Amino acid sequence: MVTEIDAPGSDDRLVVSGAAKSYGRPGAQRPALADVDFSMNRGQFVSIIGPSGCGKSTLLRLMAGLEHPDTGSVSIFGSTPAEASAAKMIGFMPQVPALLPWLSVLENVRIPLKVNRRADARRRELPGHRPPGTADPVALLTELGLADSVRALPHQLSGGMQQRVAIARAFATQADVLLMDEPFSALDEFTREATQDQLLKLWQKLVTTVVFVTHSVSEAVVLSDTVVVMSPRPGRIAAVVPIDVPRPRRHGLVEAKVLHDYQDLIRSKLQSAGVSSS
Amino acid sequence: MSAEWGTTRSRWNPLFWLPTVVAVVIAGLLWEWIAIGNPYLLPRLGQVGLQLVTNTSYYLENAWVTLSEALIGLVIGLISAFIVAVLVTESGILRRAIMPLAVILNVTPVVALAPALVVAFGFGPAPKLIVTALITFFPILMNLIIGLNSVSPPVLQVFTTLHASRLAVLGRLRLPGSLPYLFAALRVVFPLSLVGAVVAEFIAPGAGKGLGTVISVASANSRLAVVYAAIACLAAMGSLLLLVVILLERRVLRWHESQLSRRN
Repeated sequence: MVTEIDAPGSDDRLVVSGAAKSYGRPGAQRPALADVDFSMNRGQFVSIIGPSGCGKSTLLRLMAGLEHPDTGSVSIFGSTPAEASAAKMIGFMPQVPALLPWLSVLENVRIPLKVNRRADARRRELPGHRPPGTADPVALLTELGLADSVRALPHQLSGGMQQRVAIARAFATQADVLLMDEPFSALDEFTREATQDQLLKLWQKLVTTVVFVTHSVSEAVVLSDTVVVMSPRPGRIAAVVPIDVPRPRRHGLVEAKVLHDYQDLIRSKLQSAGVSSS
Repeated sequence: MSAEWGTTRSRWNPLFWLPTVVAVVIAGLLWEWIAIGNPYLLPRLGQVGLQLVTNTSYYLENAWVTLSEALIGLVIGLISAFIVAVLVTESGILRRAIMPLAVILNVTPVVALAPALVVAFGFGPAPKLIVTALITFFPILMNLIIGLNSVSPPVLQVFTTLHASRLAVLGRLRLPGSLPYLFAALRVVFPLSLVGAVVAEFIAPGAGKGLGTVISVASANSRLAVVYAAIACLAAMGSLLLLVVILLERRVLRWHESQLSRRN
């Protein structure tokens, strides 16, 4: 059942309320999420952190409309996930680049513009949409340092470059919210930091809302306005930590001490939530 | 992923071509040794060569008949397998309805079906095309079904969040993704199409032309040199068809792993 949220300004908020989700057959169910309440403002960068099995990816998939909660509801700026994805308000970025190997880099970034062409009309009708139009794929790729690779095939690129193409693809529709599922977990540390910087730059320039699932404490701190700490069995939100560090936060630019304090704080939250973090 | 040895062993390096040459020479000598002692087992290679050289137009004419039967039958098999594969992967109801029939068709030896087809359709090209289409249909169908279902879940999730239509998923994801599987089937099925055409010609000899008819008539008259000349034509055609598939594959599947390791 969908319960309507009539919180003021819900056009500008992404809200998950009372969401629960179990897997498995009736009788032998494994709860993945238990009664999760979550909300964020438009334009925020929120990370969800927790160990494997805490339901952070499940929560993200509920927001993306890839799965449906057993109870509770999800509101993407006043619309259901189904309405929002029909209007291409959601950009989803999985753990792997998930590029189409037979298309060039540029064609891969253009794919979201080519499918579901009726979305633009639907988008204008929804209350929670702020209309910036679509972003120019070439400009996006240039911004991400891939100007020389637009004609290349994905297999000709390194893993980090492929993931940057996936970022460009996610930004191409100027979605109202980008949902990212551990997108940098397969990258080496240097590539990862560079890619984080580029993501932050694009996020600020294009004024987007991002929900970012990660299992890296340092990544969560450096990227986010707010870090949501989740605990496992069953998955629920254990703590919400605002990161009060001025932006821009490029690597090497931010005072390391402040970030470390936040990292320690989040680690202690993870531990008190019953998680032995490494 | 890179095949480093590809660079160290060039085509001109004796290590590359010598084993093939030696094997061919040994096989040829063995053949001649048997043929000299037992003229009813094998014809001399020279006689076969003489047949091909003196009656070139005869063999070309018959080869062309067989080849066109094989290719037309193959196209019919390919198109019907493609349509069935798309229907079966898009609809569970159609899958349960069609697949048992397709499997029964596959386990039935097509060779056994051929005489019945000749009775039904006469000595014209129709039974030959049907046999070829039947023989090529199933390998293409099975590979296409696997290929159409081989979309990676993360890519599908991206398309789902974009609310892509089923047609878009089919046209932009499933079909291009199934091409490597289709080509694996084509490598098998292009040469196989010749089997279909020749078998059908065996069943309905005397009428019309084709290498199958040539072989059937010549072997009835114990003219082994003619039989093997026709077989040599078939082998050459089979190799040619395989070459066509491989060249086509290199062009179409530039992006695929199977082609990437080749290039280094």
